[in-house]
Amino acid sequence: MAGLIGLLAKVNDTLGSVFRLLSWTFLAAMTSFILLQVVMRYVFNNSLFWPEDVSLMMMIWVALAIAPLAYRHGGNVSLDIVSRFLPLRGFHCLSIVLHLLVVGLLVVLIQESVGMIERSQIRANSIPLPMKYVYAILPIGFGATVLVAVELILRNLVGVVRPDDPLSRSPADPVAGAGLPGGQESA
Amino acid sequence: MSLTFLWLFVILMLVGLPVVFVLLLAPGISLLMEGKTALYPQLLSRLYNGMFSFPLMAIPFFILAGELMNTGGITQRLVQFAHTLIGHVRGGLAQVNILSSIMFAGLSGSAVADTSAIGSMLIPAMEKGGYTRRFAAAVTAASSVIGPIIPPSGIMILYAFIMNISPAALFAAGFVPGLLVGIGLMTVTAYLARKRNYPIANKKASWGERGTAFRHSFLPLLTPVILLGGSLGGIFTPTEAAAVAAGYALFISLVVLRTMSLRDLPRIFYRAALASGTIMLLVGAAVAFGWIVTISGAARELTAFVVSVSEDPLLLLFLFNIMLLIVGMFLDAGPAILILGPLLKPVFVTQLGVDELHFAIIMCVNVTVGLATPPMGLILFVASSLTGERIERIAREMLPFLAIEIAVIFLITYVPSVSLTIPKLLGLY
Repeated sequence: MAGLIGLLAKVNDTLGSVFRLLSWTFLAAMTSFILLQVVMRYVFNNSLFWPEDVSLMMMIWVALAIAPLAYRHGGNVSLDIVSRFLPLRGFHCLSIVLHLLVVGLLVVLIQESVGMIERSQIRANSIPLPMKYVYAILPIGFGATVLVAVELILRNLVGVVRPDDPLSRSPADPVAGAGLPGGQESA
Repeated sequence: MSLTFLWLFVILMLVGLPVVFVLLLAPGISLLMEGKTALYPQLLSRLYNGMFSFPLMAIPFFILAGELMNTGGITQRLVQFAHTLIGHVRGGLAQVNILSSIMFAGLSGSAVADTSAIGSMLIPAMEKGGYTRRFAAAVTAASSVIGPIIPPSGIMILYAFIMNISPAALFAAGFVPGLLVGIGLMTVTAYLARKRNYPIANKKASWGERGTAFRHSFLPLLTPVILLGGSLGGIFTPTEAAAVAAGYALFISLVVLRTMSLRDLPRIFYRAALASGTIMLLVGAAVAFGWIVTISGAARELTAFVVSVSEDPLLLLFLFNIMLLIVGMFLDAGPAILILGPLLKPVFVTQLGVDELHFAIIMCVNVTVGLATPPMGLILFVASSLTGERIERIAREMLPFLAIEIAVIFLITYVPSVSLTIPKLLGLY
């Protein structure tokens, strides 16, 4: 079991670094594009037609690239009304059920998003990019989240047998660090 | 379509499934049970289109601006300026804490950013100055609520997007309620300071010292002028204004103050991406959920139920506030707006004729106060992790401050001109 968890953790670490790189560079690019749009309009009196559209497409990619990271490192908001009263073993059992539900949902979302890509005929409004490349992040993000869910299920299984085993805990985000990023209240 | 999804929603929330998945899974299971899986593609396209919105893109930029200001030492300059203005009164550091929150609120749209930035600076100083740790944490948490009430505000952007109203008008409506919360908190603090004999932080600063502190914080203090002047004056869209605020904070920290290096940027941008990506997906899921709410007729049934309780808008608004305060104890502001907004707006605005902007500001202020109410309140979590003090102890110390905040909620509920005068004067409403 430890070997399997180690392997999955390594895969998820690697994917996580790729998604982390993608998300911060895309956010930096989005900011630059919108600033460029403002400068071009007010300083050069020349309205660009593409920054809004391209930034929006990048925002979709950021949201989906962040999904597996947030899920793995506990960044999603949830209530702990029930779980806080459970003994540790019960908590791990409940977590397994919840992760399985999420996997079920994600499998449906992956199927539907692949269908959405296959049906897509349109191009982006401003640049000659087929929209299916924008939609492509949907199954990628959902798929990576399934891998995270499987890792977390295995960790919780360890927790059911040995509640104190450090292997049973979700790994912390190595980059975001301690403390919640500002703006989490909207999440 | 039946209302099964609402029961599933409540059950899945209670057992602790992350909200973003609850919003998709409850309708998903319900459609499966009714053999309507043909609607799944529509659920996914609602999720996608919910995220694909230019006004919504203000949120990542505001979050980024907040992260940059915290790391770049901009907050520190504001606190120093507040110190020279008000540090000499009894309970000076507590007053500095509140005044800094008021100023920071004009720069940032996030309460959590406010708590972590001002708290990490002032809580240790307050402890050293003879305050109890739990009081220091309580003042920080209570005053951070002002952050998303005084514009700019991530929560208001979210509300404006999901309910399709003008973010500029909502921003303008937040000014007076935010200032009232600030003044109320300062008054309570002054009373407590006299009663508990809290210390004076420093001798009265000379006008020269004040001038120097003002000069040091002048550039950061220009941020609200750019932000609000730009978006209320119609020069930028709120999204562009948010990007300009982020760019400006980056410029000040990197070039003018030189408190940040290029090496810090990946981590800052990633933290902002993490917070905003999570919100975007949540918004998409909420839009998909909202669509199911619409086609199921749940809002209509809720309206019928509410009107059967009473038809008096004043009484119903009272009950609405109490309900939101209870919801705020368990749910943070964003999910509360995303889930309850589309359900309740038809009841109050369409059916009972409550003004749209008035309803919006009541809801935004109320759910923002919910960020600081136990057991589930993000600001409390941050204040607790900063101090190591237990949440219950901070919450008990916060009671007088919460009373003020609740009083302001009821004031804006029953005296609409408190919040609506400025949007009217600015011609936004």
